[in-house]
Amino acid sequence: MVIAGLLSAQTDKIILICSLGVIGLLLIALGVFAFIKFNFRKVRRFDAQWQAKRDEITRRIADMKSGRLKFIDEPVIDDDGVEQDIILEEEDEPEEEESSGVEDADDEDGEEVQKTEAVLAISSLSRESRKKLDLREKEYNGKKYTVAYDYSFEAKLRLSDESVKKTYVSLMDEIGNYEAFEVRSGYRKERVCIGNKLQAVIRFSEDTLCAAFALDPEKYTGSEYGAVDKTESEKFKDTPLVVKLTSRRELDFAKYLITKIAEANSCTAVIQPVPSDYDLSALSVDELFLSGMLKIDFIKEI
Amino acid sequence: MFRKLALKKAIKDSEKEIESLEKKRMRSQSALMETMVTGEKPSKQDEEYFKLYTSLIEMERKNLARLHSELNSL
Repeated sequence: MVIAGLLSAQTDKIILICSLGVIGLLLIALGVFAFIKFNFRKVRRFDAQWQAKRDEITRRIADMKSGRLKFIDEPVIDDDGVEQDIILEEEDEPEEEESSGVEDADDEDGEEVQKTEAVLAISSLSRESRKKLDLREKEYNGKKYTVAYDYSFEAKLRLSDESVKKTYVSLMDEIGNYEAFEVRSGYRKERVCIGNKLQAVIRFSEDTLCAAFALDPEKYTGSEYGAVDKTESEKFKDTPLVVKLTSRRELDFAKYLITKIAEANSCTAVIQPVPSDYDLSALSVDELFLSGMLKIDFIKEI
Repeated sequence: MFRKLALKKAIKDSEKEIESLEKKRMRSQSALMETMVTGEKPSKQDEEYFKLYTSLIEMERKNLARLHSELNSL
């Protein structure tokens, strides 16, 4: 009996030691696997600058293949009679394609894109943002980069003062008073159309909210409201009458111009207009980037 | 040792990538060659494809050189 009891106790010990040994071996194997995988991945990566450049070229090729980038084989001659090198013609974003007939597009108006330079610590970005930027945590944590932020219209609006937000909401409510007006949101501006005809554009000029109208500037400039005639500007060729919305008077003038457009197009007002409920709360860089309201260009590592 | 193995694998991947990019560039390259031989004006699209693939290949070659020098320094 005593011997049988001793043997049973020894068998239990052996089973326990074997189990621990197997678990230990599994853990070691897992560690080795993770180590090898991490090292293999780490070596293949380009640095962030190269990766960004590579991604840009790949995106361009994809755009060309999908037909979003078109080419003009005829030489483009500028005003001085010199043949230009730039031959690429970029089409609208897919969501803009619905607005056929509206020629004005975000990146086609020859406008210089305003970017804000800043220092970005990779560790300040969320896991999702790092994944979107293809920045592996172990490799890029602790690194800092000089970056250029390209804010969308909505991002600028969300980051602007309360007074600017109120001005925007007030103007949009005025537009909402007419059923015929349709607001189409783009990355850099919002277009107000009747059918396919562009009537007004709302955008930021630097940090100032502006409204540009497709009205005859001669009729309205020179007034006390400070509307500007931008006929000569390529950017405003379709909406030459520009009003900077910096005060109550200018907002009222912009509203008056909307009523003039409505009158000219025989638009009927909504009987009981409902004020729109806009969520214009400020968002962090991370949230803006994840929601597609901000583009980040990497310039160099610090 | 693992680093060495990883570098060797990365070099192999990089070489494969270059090969694949060169194949892709081949189409626009032949089109451009054809226009040169026939004396026609080359298509802007072919030119652009050629330039883009060439810059990708150059970038990949630089990366390959970096990997080789890293492997040699081990």
